[in-house]
Amino acid sequence: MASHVVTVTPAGWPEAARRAGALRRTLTTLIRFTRRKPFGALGAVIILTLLLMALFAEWIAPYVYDQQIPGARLRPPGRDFLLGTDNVSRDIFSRIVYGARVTVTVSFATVFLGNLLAAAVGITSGYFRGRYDIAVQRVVDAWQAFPALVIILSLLAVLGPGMLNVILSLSILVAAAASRVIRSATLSVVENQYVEAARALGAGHPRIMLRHILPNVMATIVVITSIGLGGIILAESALSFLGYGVPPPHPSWGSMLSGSGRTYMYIAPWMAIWPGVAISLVVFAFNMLGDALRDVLDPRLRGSHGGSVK
Amino acid sequence: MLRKYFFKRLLVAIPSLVLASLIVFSLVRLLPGDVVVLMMEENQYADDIEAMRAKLGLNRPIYVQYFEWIGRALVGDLGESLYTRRPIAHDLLTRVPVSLELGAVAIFFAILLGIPIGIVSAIRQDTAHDYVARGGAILGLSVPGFWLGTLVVVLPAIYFKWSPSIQFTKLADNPWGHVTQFILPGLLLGIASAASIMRLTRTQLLEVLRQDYVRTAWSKGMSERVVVLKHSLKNALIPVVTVLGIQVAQVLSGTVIFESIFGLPGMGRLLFDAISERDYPVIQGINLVVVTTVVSVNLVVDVVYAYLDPRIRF
Repeated sequence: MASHVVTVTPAGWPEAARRAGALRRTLTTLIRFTRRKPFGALGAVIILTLLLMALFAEWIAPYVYDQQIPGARLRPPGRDFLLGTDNVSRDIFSRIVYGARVTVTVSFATVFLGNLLAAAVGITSGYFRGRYDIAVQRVVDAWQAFPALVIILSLLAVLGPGMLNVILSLSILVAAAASRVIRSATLSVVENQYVEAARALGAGHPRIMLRHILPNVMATIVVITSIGLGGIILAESALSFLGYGVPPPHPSWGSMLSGSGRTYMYIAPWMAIWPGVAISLVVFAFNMLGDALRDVLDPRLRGSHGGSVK
Repeated sequence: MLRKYFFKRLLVAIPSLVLASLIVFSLVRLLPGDVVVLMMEENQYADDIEAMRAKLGLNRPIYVQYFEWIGRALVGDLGESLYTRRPIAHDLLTRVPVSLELGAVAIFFAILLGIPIGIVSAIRQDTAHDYVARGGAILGLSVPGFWLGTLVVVLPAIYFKWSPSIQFTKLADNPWGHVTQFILPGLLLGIASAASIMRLTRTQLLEVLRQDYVRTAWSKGMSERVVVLKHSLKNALIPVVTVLGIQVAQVLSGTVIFESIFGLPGMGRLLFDAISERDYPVIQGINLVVVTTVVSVNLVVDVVYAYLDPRIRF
């Protein structure tokens, strides 16, 4: 019982002390997570680096992504150019730093849109059940029957390339897979007594779903988000590699490995290596963090591997 | 009982397939008008807008279009390519076997690598072997296939002056060369699937190894080989069968990339070319074939699963 008393901050305490307490609690949680899941923490550090690269690309990159440096064509990695230069004299390190922007924008926008749709479909489907559920699940089945790359490429062939279209078509696919998991989480949450209690108190369907079910399936959503992000990044880079991703001049890691540069890779292998290392490292980080979060937040999902789109 | 389950499962598969065909059918109907104009002017697919719309089958009531399209597809007529003017079904007959061979090699390697590594990882849980295997599996899921493909083509050419052939060899011309050309792309394509299979094998086997009947087997003094391979593995592998259905879809996605990199004239390559040529009837045809394949494989997988594990029949 005493523990309840401890957490309450006396009213007279200054605001700064209260904040320091909150900060300390967050730090303790982080340290505990790092001890239990060192690889997950490593993943989190890599992801943080990615975010910083995307946010502060102008300050980190020595050159602008499309800047052609006179007399520096196909230079190997070295002191002047950390990761070398490409066939049109652009600094590869700078392009990778700016490329983080495309990666972050596409993957986070996709996962946000996709999960929003997935939550709407999954929660209503698991909550109302019955005929509505059966109908919705058949549509989800139909979407899931398409190999990811085949249907996304076909969608992009119709809608045209471009970042927005890539995000839209990827998020539909992500939503189909994620809605399954959210639906099954909802099915078990609905059985709880507090849902019945809320209903007895006269709460309507929207209120029950938003205030009582959503917060309780949130852990599941967090886990499938972090596992799904890796898959989305792989899919985006594959689309860019095939030439249907984010159009130039924006540097995307996938497109750095394709196009006119491919013929030069035989004399400048660094052009082929570094963008791939960047993609692998970031996807690896999301997969490790996702695995760690799943073990900590939602062990029921063990063995599943999110909406991996590859 | 099994027959009853099969029909029950078929009742679920059919609506999924119908809905999927509706998605494929709707694709071309999402085409923006300016693209239709572009198809006419750039690729000279027709003389005027009306002729173009007629070629795409867009000039009649929508339900008539659907039933006509699906009715013809059921008897094997997928229409005509706008670009080559050849029947699509005819082209697919030469393309599909190439993709099937590539996919089969990929699944073969996925099983060959995934299951043994998963077993070792489970019976040596939390040892160095296990950590290396698990780390390797996450890495396998993280490395983009198109990058591996690129490296395998580029790096040996630089350092060993050797590169894998990207010239397609027909079975009739050189049977040995025909088979071996699939090994490298198949292996690379199978890596991601191997990683998924390894992870699932490991978790399933760990679960089974904790069960009472396995403890009984141990206490009877049986060797590790017998306990693991004869008593545990059979039950552990049943759920692994179900991921094969998912892996088939994954591998079909991969064929688009690997057929492009290794110059294999399969269905994935045909799709890629059709997209560049704005050849929408071909895109539609391939999608229909692909989705039918995935739904059928999943149906078979579920029935096999029910046969192997009688508990799941309800």
